[in-house]
This record gives sequence, structure tokens and C-alpha cells, in this order.
Amino acid sequence: MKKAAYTFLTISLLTFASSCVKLVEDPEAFLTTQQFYKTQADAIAAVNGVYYTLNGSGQTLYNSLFQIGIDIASDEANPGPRARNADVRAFAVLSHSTTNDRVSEIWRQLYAGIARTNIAIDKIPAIAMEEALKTRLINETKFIRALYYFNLVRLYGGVPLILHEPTSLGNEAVQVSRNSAEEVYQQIITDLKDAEGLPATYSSTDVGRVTGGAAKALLARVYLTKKDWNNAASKALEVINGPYGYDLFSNYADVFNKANNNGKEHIFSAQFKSNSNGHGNSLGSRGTPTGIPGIDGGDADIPTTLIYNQYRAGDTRKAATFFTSLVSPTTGTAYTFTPHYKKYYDPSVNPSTGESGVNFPIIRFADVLLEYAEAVNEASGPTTDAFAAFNRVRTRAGIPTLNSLSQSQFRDSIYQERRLEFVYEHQRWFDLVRTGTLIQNLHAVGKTNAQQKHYLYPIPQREIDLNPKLTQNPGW
Amino acid sequence: MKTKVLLAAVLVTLLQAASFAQQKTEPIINSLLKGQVIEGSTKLPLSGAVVAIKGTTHQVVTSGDGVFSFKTGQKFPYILVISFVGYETLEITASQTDIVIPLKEAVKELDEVVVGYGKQKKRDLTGSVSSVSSGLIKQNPVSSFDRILQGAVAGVQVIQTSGQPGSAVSIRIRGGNSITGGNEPLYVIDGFPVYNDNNDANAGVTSGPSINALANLNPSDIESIDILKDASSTAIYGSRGANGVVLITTKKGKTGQNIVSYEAYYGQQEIIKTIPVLTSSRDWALLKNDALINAGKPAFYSQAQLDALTGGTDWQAAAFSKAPIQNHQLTFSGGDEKTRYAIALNYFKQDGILHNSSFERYSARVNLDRNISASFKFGTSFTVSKTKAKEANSGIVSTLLLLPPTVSIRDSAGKYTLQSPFEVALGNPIASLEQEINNTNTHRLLGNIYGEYTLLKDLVAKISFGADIINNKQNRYIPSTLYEGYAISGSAAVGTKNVNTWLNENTLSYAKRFGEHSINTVVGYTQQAYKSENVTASARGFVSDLLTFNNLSSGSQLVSPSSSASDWGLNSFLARFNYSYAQKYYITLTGRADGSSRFGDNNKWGYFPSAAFAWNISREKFFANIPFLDKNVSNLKLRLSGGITGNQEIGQYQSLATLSNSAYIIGNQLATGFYPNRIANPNLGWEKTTQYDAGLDIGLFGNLVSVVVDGYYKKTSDLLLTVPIPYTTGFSTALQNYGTVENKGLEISLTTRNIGGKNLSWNTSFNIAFNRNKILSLGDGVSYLISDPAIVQVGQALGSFYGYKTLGLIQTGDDVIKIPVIDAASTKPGDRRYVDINGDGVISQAGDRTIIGQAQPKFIAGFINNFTWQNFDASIQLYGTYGNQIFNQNRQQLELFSGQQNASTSALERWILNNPSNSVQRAKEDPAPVTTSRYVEDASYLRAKNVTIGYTLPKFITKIARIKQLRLYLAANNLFTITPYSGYDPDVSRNEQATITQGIDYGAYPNAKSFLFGLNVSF
Repeated sequence: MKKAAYTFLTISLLTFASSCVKLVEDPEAFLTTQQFYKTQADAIAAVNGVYYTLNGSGQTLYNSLFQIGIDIASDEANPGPRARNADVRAFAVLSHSTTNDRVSEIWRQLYAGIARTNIAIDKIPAIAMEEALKTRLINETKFIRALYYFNLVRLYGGVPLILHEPTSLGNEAVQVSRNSAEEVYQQIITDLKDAEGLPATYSSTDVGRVTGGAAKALLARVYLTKKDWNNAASKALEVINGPYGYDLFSNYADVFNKANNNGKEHIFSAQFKSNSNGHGNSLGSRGTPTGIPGIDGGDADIPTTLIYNQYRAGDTRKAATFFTSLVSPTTGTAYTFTPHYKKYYDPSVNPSTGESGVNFPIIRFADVLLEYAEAVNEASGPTTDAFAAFNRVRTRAGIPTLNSLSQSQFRDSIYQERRLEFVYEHQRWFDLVRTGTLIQNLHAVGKTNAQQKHYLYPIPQREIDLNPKLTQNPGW
Repeated sequence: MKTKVLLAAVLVTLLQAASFAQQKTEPIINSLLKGQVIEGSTKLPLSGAVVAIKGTTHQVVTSGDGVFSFKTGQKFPYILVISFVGYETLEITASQTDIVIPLKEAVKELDEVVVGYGKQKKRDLTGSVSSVSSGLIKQNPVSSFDRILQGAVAGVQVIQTSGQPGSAVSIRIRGGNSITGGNEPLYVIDGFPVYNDNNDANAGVTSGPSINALANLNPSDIESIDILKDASSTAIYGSRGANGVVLITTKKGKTGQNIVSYEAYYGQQEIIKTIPVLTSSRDWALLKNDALINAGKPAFYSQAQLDALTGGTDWQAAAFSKAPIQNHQLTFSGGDEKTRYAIALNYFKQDGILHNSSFERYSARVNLDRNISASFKFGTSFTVSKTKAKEANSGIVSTLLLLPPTVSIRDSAGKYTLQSPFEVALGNPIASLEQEINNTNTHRLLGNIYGEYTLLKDLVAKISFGADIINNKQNRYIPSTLYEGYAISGSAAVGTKNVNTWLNENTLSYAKRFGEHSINTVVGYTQQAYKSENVTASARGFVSDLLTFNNLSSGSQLVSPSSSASDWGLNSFLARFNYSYAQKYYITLTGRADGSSRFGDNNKWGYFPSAAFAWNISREKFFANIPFLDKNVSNLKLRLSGGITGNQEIGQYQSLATLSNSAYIIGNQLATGFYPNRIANPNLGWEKTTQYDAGLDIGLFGNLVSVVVDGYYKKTSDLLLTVPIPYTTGFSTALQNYGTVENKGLEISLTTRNIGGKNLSWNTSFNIAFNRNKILSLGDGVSYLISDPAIVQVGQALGSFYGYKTLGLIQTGDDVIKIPVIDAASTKPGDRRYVDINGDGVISQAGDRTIIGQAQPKFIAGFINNFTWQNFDASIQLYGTYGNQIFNQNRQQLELFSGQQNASTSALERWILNNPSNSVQRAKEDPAPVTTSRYVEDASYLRAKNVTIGYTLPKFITKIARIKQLRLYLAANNLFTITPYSGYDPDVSRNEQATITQGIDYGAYPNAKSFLFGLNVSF
């Protein structure tokens, strides 16, 4: 019996001594930041993670959020019958408050994207890798950071300028005050100037990345927004005459055909691909009506009657931008409906309209041409060069060219051309704000709540609650 | 509702008073007997013992110094029967007066409760521990034992979140402590601690409510359930004790005869009630036209079409049917002095009231104990089981309600209609129930092996090793004949999850009595580790539906597979010290140190101390001298306890800055990207609950009536809260130790033996618990978190609903300009008005939402009556909650009146120009669902959970058939439910175990009522 006792004691002591439960967490299915940012492959993956914020699955920046959170409050769009969210409805009639969830969602996603750019820009320099690639990846990332700050500063005014990853959760680390709009613009310009050095083109395996031409084109838009006409004109001209091979498609509808994704007119696009685990363009669904067998439309965005009726006869853009009838692929019956958005409708993926593979054009060549015309007209009046650039866009649309206009007539013509050219491309609201014509244009479509304060979004109330250093925008 | 519960309480009291009154007969005196009852070993007097003269109804209760006396018509000698809780009942012949009767302590069971790492006699308890009666365990035909707890003991709230057979329940012991962490109790099954994470049995490819991981354990195997509630009793479980602990002990063999028993029941279930929706095509068509006309559009149906519409589909009637439930249990048990065994086999099957849904279990158990020598014994408790749940997918019930009656189940060719032709995309739920495969199959092995060695007299060492192995496989197939599978030519998915937990516990216990002093201590070291691995794969685009989920590679579109793994570990030291003096004063000190992998590097170890004191006042000498009390109060014990316990239910890796991955399209190919999903928090630590408890155990009239009252106060601080942080950090939230929640409450249990006799007996137990919950803080700068329709707000209770208060409807002639509305452009007479709380003339989210309801009840109560009359037995178990509300989201959807989906029958009373309602709004083509007080409903209820009538065959008959015992019974479950709630059933929670969004009813599988016939036979 004593033997048993000794055996027992030995087992007890052994189990005690050989304690095999470890308390340090070492996840097997996740990477941690300490393990990452070490190799060239890590650097590439970190930048892929940055790009993902452009249009990740769900309602993301260039995958319907800017439509719901910006365009719907312009004179171009209204919520469709399926857009039932009370916040969206409130937004569309400008009865939204500082707690509106789209106001805070845009802010959130832009800063989430910026955080990813910051960590990439902070960490990649220390990685031992091919130097040229390192510089390229950092500059691609700087372009995205500039794009996001450009959106922030236009929507919310001067915002906290955060350029490094947060290191702690303490108040001193997470509560940051607003910078001036000018400071934000200076950072945007600095980042974009670095990004100008990016390659003009990429091999087919890297197509879709930021190019030097994209950086110059965005810089032109930044200068234009700042009314720095000379710089805007010269940057736009660098894009037009640079080694990038940009040109307009001869047919406007080709811009929105997925077979032409990343074509000659596309300077920078959010990339989509059909049936690839949630990389479809959901505007393809939101713009398409419901009730047609075999086409599962989301019916969440509809154009205003006003914009639909702006086109003159013969303008090929109207039929490429809107549709009013579809044939059911299952029953063969033709259905007609009030005007809906056609641009991202991809018939090859029916009935799953949200799987549209049409890229979203963030910057395209027509924009650079019109920006150039506008900048030159503002700086030096309606010159031949300005008319030439402007008329390329009109000619492609199939409408007569315009010449011999006064500076102010030309200005109005350019504004109108932009309005017709960029429907459902998240340009209209920014143009209305930039040109100071927001209120009258919104009143014209019955959005009579529009007032001076709407030139800037409110700072989300949540952010002010969590960060007492933030101040609210005037009027909110 | 309130009055009914009160009435019931009053009734019980009156009946009891009536039965005590019978004891006051004074017979002719033939003899005078005086005596004293003493404790066998300590020779101390026992007060409260019941002394009865056998064969008569005459009985007395010993006073404070153990003394009793009889003046009786009986002549010496006669037989006395002496009984006392915790002691063996003794029969002794009295032949003369002045006898001293020593009682021997009962060795076993009834009055022993299992506490953490040991057992204790009920009368020695210092903490708050409730036991579920064995009758209740036997009586409830349930898929998992956690459902038995509903109404069984005070302070335990059980919500059967769904009626899907085998689905999960949500349990709160003394309210919810945590806001975003887990709030479920810790289960300790034959010594093995299990946190019931239903995800352990969920590979993640099926649709529908969670299947309960505990449903793999056979409820018929359970001998006893003890619930530890206060800090003194739960602190021994340290970082897992804060939500309460449920101790499960399974049936062991008993020394003596070998017994073979067979228990079975079979019954039918049916839906309790259906929700009134439009079932007439014409009614619905009129609504649709109305909605379109109100939007200025042409009517959908012409007058001729309207006139031609007859009948209509009643989708609920087509989907719900009667469904069988059955259980079979075969047990072999017994033992001799050295070996005790219990072997049980079980089969359980519950079909669901929705066609083709079910839950099925096969299980086996072996419990074995062997004494090798006088000082060494070992044993095992092992169970293995296989379960199969066929689930109705999560969209079925809402689709049944929302499909218009004009849609037919089958088309003219006899094929299932694919979908609703109207704007709201709805597939055919009847076809889905029949054709979709949506199965969860789980194997679970839970076992423990122990060795116990008596090192020295009174010093026992015990080592145990245990394992809990869960293998889960899920299969899903949506055929191309269903709406959901039509466009993608069928969709198949499979998933597996393997979860392994191992446990080693080493304890040393020492128990010694020195005269009136008694010591009982245990110290131990334990380790537990968990590892989970998960794989899923799916594909679409099948040529044929015949292979279902069994050949993914034949799909034309393969969906990317997923795999994951996670683990945690826990190292612990524990100690408990019990001291008692003369069974009058008791002290318990408990502590546990837990080291958990889940927390930040700076906070791995947590320490959880507690202390308790109890005073058995009725054993004091002075008590015997208090008139009235000495005669009537047989037991009076005061308990006080306080301590700190913890909660670690936050999942794994939450303190680390981990990376997420997702792909962007570059070069028209997926390019994987990685990015941080969190800011590291090395300070992340335990959620601490400080709890104080004061309790009184009162026994009256020789413990014919016993009352347990407990008051408690719990304050949970350093909440594991996903705290909102400024978005400018790049993140939305960070898991931090922030915020405080308090719970305070009162629990009362009353057990009475109203009538006690050989031929007729009636026992009652009643429990009621009041808990008040309040959020004290949520950290810096945060005063609320909104999760529509719920809000977590400082100063309020968890489970608050947040929205607009309704104020009737806008009527014709009202000045719409002046009425505050959400959207002036689309608002017309017949639309709902809301209270303009901030008075700014518009209804806005920022200013006009307020608290409109509360999901937590004001009190919950259970009331159980057991009767026996000769060979008949009967019991009735009532359960009720009061003051809880439900956000009825089903009704919110059914009152949209959009003409795009079906509507509640209230649509027949909707506002129309000629007949303006002031409560039911007009038809509107594209309404936005609004969270309003209209859909917050009182969900108080009183339910007859179980009514059973049984008959045990007389011995003289069973003897002939060589049967030891044969009992037949009929039972009804959920026989009636009294509630003002308009939904299917008030016992529901769409979000299952979630705390913030509790009390929401949307698309939940409704509970059933059932009628059973059962038999128990033993040989």
C-alpha cells in the first residue's frame, strides 16, 4: 500500500512540475503587428491592405458610401424605394443632424484608411527590400493618404492631421485637435508631389496601382479646388501631354464597360471583379430597379428628374448614363420604369446585379480635360487651348462644339458639361460646393432645407463626445 | 398579471395555515412522555426535530434545548418516529417517560449539496446555494438540462430564445454583470468546468439559431443540480465565478441491489398560437392598391381583378404542424462495498413544429467508482453522445409572416412557387423547409478519471484528469429549385470544428473535528487548456441537386475556403478554509488565483478572495427561552458573505494587435492585404465583480415550512467593454477595462409540506426573485452606446429600448406644417406622430429619442406543487415573469403596410380618409421602419410549464411480474400561458445570449406546447 502512496505522490508532483499550460498568447490563425512588416512580401501586402479601403465589401467609400453619404444630398440623386434607412432619408432632404450615421461613417472610413496608410508609411522604410519597390510602395500609399485627406478637408473642413500610427489608448494619444484646412492641403500637396514620381504605367500583373499620372491629375484637382488656377492648369497639362497615353474612348458608353477596365481614359479607378468573393460594384445593384424577374436590382438610388432632363437631343451620354427599360433574361418580357442609373449595370452577372465588374472611375481623362479648360479660363480667360480641351469632351458625347464664349459663359458651360459628364461618379456635390452654387441648385430640386451650413458636413457628434478637443463646424 | 401572482401567493399561505390548524387536537390523556433529542456524536441537543407517534397524526417538535413532550391517548409502549433534516429517521419504542434519543447524521444526499471542490451539508452552508429538486429534473421533457433551471430556483432567469429543437438558451444568475462580455454561468459537470460557448458546436456554415452545445449531455443522467450564487460559493471558481456557477452531478451507482430501469416518454407538440396576419387575398390586394394610390401611383389591381380574388394562402397554417417528441433511457446501476457503477443509454428525438426541423441525440454514460483499499479509490465518469439538429433557416419564420396571401404555395403545374412577385424579395418558405439541408451534427465526449488517496487520517489527496472533446460537422445545401439557390444553381457548404479541452486538478483536503471545533479545508492546483480548429468550404453552380453538399468540387464556382484556430489556457491555485464551532458559528474563507492567457501581458494573474460567516441562532441557548419562537421556529440561520469574482469571457487574443486580411483587385486578380485590426492593450485584465450577500434560513414548525431569503448587492467594475474611441485613431472601438454595472436584488424561496401523510401529501415550493440592474459608468466621455433598438446608458438598466414615443396619428385638418415630423415632404394625414421631446419643432434622432422600454423583468417567480394520493401523484409547475418588455420587430415589419409584403390583421383597421384611425397608420408605399414605443410590448407572463399526473402500480401487482416499480404518467408542458404579449411567445430573444440587444422578437422559431405519455419501470 505504501507503494501506491508513493506512486500517487509522484504523479502529483510530476503534474505540478510539468505544468504545460502557457499563458502567453501566440495565435496560430492570426498575425500580430510584431510579426509583420519584416519582408518585401509583407510590404506589398500592407499596401494591398491600404487599397482595400477604397472599395472593400459592404458599404465602403468608393463602393456606394459616397453615393449614399454625398451624392444623395446633391441635386443629382434621391434615395430609391429600397433605401429605407431613416438616416439616408434624412440625409437626402438635408434634415440630417450631427449624429447621422452616414456623416460619421464617411469620417470613420476615411480615417480607418488613413491609419492603414500611416502604418505602411511608418513601417515600410525599415524593411530590407528592393529600394525602388520600397519607394514605389510608399508613394502609392501617399497618394491614397492624400486622396482621403482631400475628401476629408472638402467634406468637413480642417480636420485632425494624423500622420503616424497610434501607439497607446491613452487620452493624450487619441485626442487630437483640428488642423486648419490650409495645413491639411499642404500635407496633401506634399504627399502628391512625392507620388508624382510613380511609374507612368504598370505591367499587366500590377495594373490598377497608382501611377504618376494619377498623382498629377489629383494634384490638378486639388489646385483647382484651392482656386490655384495656374498650378491647376499646368498640372492638368502635364497629364494631357505627359508620357501616359491618356485619351478619351471614342464611345462614351465604353467608359463603363468592364471589358475596358483600366483603359486609356481611366487614370485611377477603384477595381472591381465579378463573382470573386465580394468584389462586385454594388452601385450595379443600387442603380437597377426591382421587380424584373432574373435581375435582382437594389432600387436604392434614383436620379432626379431634373438631371435626366438636362441632356440635349443627340447627347450619347444620356443613354449610357440612364435606362428606362430592361428585358427580363428569364421571361423575355420587356419592362419599362422611371429613369434609373445604368453606368455600373453589368448584364453578365444577372441576377446578382451587385456582382458588377465595372470599375468605379475616381479620376478619368475627361475630368482632366474639363479641369484644364476651367483652370485656364479662370486664369487667362477663354483661350483656344481651353476650348480645345473642352470640345474634346463634347465631340465625344456627340454634341456640337462651342467656341467664342465669354469667360463667364464659358465657366457656366464647363460647369454644365461636368454635370452631364460625371453623373453617378461622386463629382456633383463637390462641384456645387467648390463653385458656391449648392443652395440654389438644391432648392431647384425641392431640397429646401439646404442652407449655408451645408457647405460643410458637421463633425460627427460621436467624435466630439469622445474627443473634447474637437470643435463643431459653423451652424451645426 | 401582478394580481394573479399575488393571488397565488395569498392562496398558498391560506391553505398552509389551514393545514397547520389541524394539528391542535387534544386527545384523552393515557400517558405522559417527556424526552430529549440529541446529536449522536456531539451529544448536543437538537431543536426542531419532529417526533411523531407511529400510526397516529400526533406529532410535536423539539424546542431549543431538544426537549419534547406528549400528552396522549396512547398507552405505553408505543413507537416514536423521529425525523430531522440532515439526520437518519429513527424509530424507537417508548415504554416510559424521560427518554434521551440520539440521532445519527444522515450520511447522504438530500441534505448534502455539492459545492466547488467538495460537498457540504445544507445546514453548514455559509453561502447562497440553491438546489434543483430531483423531481423537476425528472419531470421536464427537454433537450438540454439548462432548460430545467427555468423557474426551479430563485434568482435564475432562463430565456428559451428559440423553439428550434436543440437550440440555445440564455441564462442570467442574479442579473447580467457584463455589457459586452459573456454573461452565462459556468457549468461544472462532475467536476469539469465548462463555459457554454455554443460556437464550440458551430462550424459556421448553417443558418438559424445556435444549437446548444450542452444539448449533447443527456438530462436524464443528472442526479442533482446545485447553483452557486454568492461570492463565497463562487470565488473558488475565481475568474469564471462572477456569473454564477451551475454544478451538475450525474447519477452514480449505489451500494446494494442491482437495478435495471427503463424510462420513456412519447408525446405530441403543437404551436401555442399563430400571429394574425392577412390571409385573404382580397384584403391584401386592397392594401396594396391603397399604398400605391397614397403615393400618387395607379392601383395595382383593377376592380375586375379585385372581384376575382378569392381565398388566400395561410402560410403559417401550411408550415406549422403537430410534431412528436420522445425519449428512451435504459439504466443499469448498483454496486457492492468496493464497486459502484451506473451505465445509461439514451435516445431522444424532438421533431420541430416547423416541418423537417428536428433534434436527435444518442448518448451513453459510464460512471464507475472502485475502492482498491481502505485508503485508495479511483473512478471515472464518462459520457459520449451524437446529436443531429436539422434547422429551419433563420429567415423562415419572418418569411412565413411577410409573404402575401395572394402568393400560392404551388403553381398551377404543382411545382413550388419560387418567390414572391412583389418588391420585397422573399423565397418560398415551405419549399425551403422541405428541400434545404441545414444540419448540425456534433459528437461530444466528456469524461473525468480520478484517484483519491487517504494519506493520513483526515488528509485526502485527489488527482483527476478530464477531457472534453467536441467534433462538429455542419452541412448545408440550397438546391437550385429554391429562390436562394436558383440564380446560383445550388449552393453547398460544409464545415467542421474540433474543440479539445483538457483538465487536470490536484487537491488536498483535510477535515477534522476537535470537540466542538470543526475544520474542513481544501487546497489545490488546477490547469485547463482549450484548443479549437475550424475549417469551412463551399461551392456554387451545380449541374444536379442530387449530390447536395457531398461533392463540392463538382460546383462550377468554388468559394474560397476558410480555416482558423484558437486556444486558451488557465492555471489556478485554490484554497478554502471552513471552520465551525458547535454548529453555531461558521466561517468560510475562499480564494483562487487564476492565470489566464486571455489577458494582456501586464495583467495575466487575477486574485479572487471571499469570506463568509454564518450564525445558527436557533442553536443558541437563549433561543430556547424565547417564548413562541422556541416552539415554532425550528431553524434560524443568518448568513453573511462578501468577495470578489471575475469574468474572462472575452474570446481570445483580444489584448494583441492582430492583423486582418482581405484582398483587393490588382492586375484583375485578388491580391491579399494585411492590416492591423486593433490597437494592442497590454493592460487588458479581469472584469471584477464584488458581491455582498445577506441571507436568512428559517425553518418553522419542525421544518414543515422553510424559508430562504437572500439580499445581495453586486458591483462589477473594470468591465471588459468595447469602448468607442475616436475614429481618428483608425479604429472604432478598443476592448478596455472601463465602466461599472451594479445589480441588487432580493430572493425568497418558500418550501412547505402542507399535508404530510402516507395516503395524502402535498408539498409546495415557491420562489421569487427581484433584480435591479443599473449601469453606473461607461468610461470617459461615453454616456451611452446605441445599438438600435437598444441603448446602453449610464443610470439606466441593461436591456433598455430606445426610440420615439408615439403620439397617435396625424389627422385630416391637422396643420402638418406645425406638427413636428421626421420628414415633412413625405408626411401626410394617417402617418404616425411622435413626441417632440426637445421641443424644437422637428422629430430628429438626436433630440427626440428616449427610453421606451425595458427587457429585464421586475421579478421572476416559480411555483411548484406536488401531490400524492395513495398510488397517484401529481405536480404542477408554474413560472412567470413580470414587468419585462419585448421589442416586437415582427409586428413592426407587419405594420409597414407597404403593399410589398404581408401585413398584420391590424391593417384592416388602418387609417383611411373615410374612417380615420388614431392608432393604425395609413398604407404607405415605401415607409421607413421606425423604432417607436408602439412596438414595445408588455411581455409579462404566467405559464403552466408542466402538469403531470402519475400512477404507480400497486406492489402486489408488480411483484407478480417481478417488477420493482412501474409508474405511468401523463404530462402537459406549456399547457397555458397568460400574457398580454401579441407575438408567438414571450419566452424569446432573437439575439440569444446577447446582453445589449436582449428582448427582441424577430423571426424567432416559436415555442411549442406538448402533451406526453410516459412510463418508468425498474427491475
